[in-house]
Amino acid sequence: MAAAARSGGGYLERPRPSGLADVIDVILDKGLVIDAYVRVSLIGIEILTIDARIVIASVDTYLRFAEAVGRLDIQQADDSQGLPELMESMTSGGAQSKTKGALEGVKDAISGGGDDDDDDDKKQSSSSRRRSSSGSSSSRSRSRKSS
Amino acid sequence: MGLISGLLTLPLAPVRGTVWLAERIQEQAEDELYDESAIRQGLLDLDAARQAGTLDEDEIAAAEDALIERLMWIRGLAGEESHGRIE
Amino acid sequence: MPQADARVYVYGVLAGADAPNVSADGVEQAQVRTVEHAGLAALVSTLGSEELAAAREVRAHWRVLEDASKSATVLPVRFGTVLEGDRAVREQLLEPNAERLTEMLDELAGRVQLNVRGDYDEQQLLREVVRTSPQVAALRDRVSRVSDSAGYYDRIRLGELVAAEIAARREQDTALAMARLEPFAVSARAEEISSQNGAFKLAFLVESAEMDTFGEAVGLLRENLAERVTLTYVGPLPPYTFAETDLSAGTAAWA
Repeated sequence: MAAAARSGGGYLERPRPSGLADVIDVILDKGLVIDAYVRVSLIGIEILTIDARIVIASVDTYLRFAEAVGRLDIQQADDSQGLPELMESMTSGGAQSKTKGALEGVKDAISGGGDDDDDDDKKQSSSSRRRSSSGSSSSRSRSRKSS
Repeated sequence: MGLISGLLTLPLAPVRGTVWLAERIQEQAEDELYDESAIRQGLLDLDAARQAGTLDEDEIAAAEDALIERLMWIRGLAGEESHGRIE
Repeated sequence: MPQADARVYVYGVLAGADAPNVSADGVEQAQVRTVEHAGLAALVSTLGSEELAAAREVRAHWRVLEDASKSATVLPVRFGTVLEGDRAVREQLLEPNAERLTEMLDELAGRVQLNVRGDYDEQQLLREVVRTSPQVAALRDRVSRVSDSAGYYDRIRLGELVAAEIAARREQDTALAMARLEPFAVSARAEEISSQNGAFKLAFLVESAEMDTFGEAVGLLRENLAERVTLTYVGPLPPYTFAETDLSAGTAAWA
């Protein structure tokens, strides 16, 4: 481990060459945008019937966190998938969708919904989960164009 | 809708808290649906397999294609066609 | 033979004086060529069909840009950009934007993009959250004593607290990494985190001559993050992130 000679900095690192995993983001999201252009339709994409606005209303994520936290000292969870399973889960028709209607129904049925939480001190505003970046950031489009 | 009806029947759930919570849940569920880390990890794994020679190139390419397509769907790029003013 | 009116796929823009040596196949395995105008050159290839197999062509797009960037500064164009023909490239892309494109190429000359990302180990992260938050620890304890159904709401609340703690750490770690590295870069961007274990995702534009100094800062940051955050340092890349600009083609004609 060669120590750097100047400025007491750390070990001089060289970047590793980019692989597909590293660049796929920027290729799809960045680069010059030309206003008036013809964009050929991109075939070969499995057009899922799930509308992006219809989302699983599920507590699974929170329960997963709670479960993971609960399990911590017992055993290291091994949740790595093998490649075949990963391929399958990636290419299969996507998540089950429960209609947003159900969740909307919940909100409607419960009137007077304010934003208060019973517990203030640890509550982070949800905006902190959406990283606000210095400089421009990629804006992820959540809504699919309906064909 | 077992989970949602379960939420509704919880006797101790404060009304306003439940609505707020439902919104947070939906947000988080959206995050999961759109979580790209599995895609990224898959691409990294496939590249590793390529280096190690444990899968053949056709299989790897097909798997990479599937992952990229999934990512494109997430980003709303699938099947998009737009025509600018030059048309 | 490339017909002047055949649609063209556009990869990027470079200075007309630079001759990019692109041996990689373009989209549809077509040959990559340039269309020149106003001291600029657009990297294009002729398109034969109306549709593209997207995933495959992403790779072609990538390889063409990597290839060209070895010997020239290239402004990457957004994936999937197609213009009506060579003439449209000249009249609608290069001509109306010549000044801006030249300016951007000047700004990027001699500089490279370097990406630095940090990822948490979820197990370790969760352990730390429990250790540092008495509230989380207490709720976890309470939840462990009751049945699944009785503790249902508490479990949701626990998970939500944990998620908030993670979000706070992301913010802190992003700020830390940025503060450490930005001084050695010409420009910096923090990208939105799209993976659950992500800590930060940063892009830097760095003078080629300063890459080593930047690399030392990265090394030091990695040491300081230790096992808490896994650092990935990648590059050099064509400046995708720093070419992000909307251009309007042919505005003059429509004014």
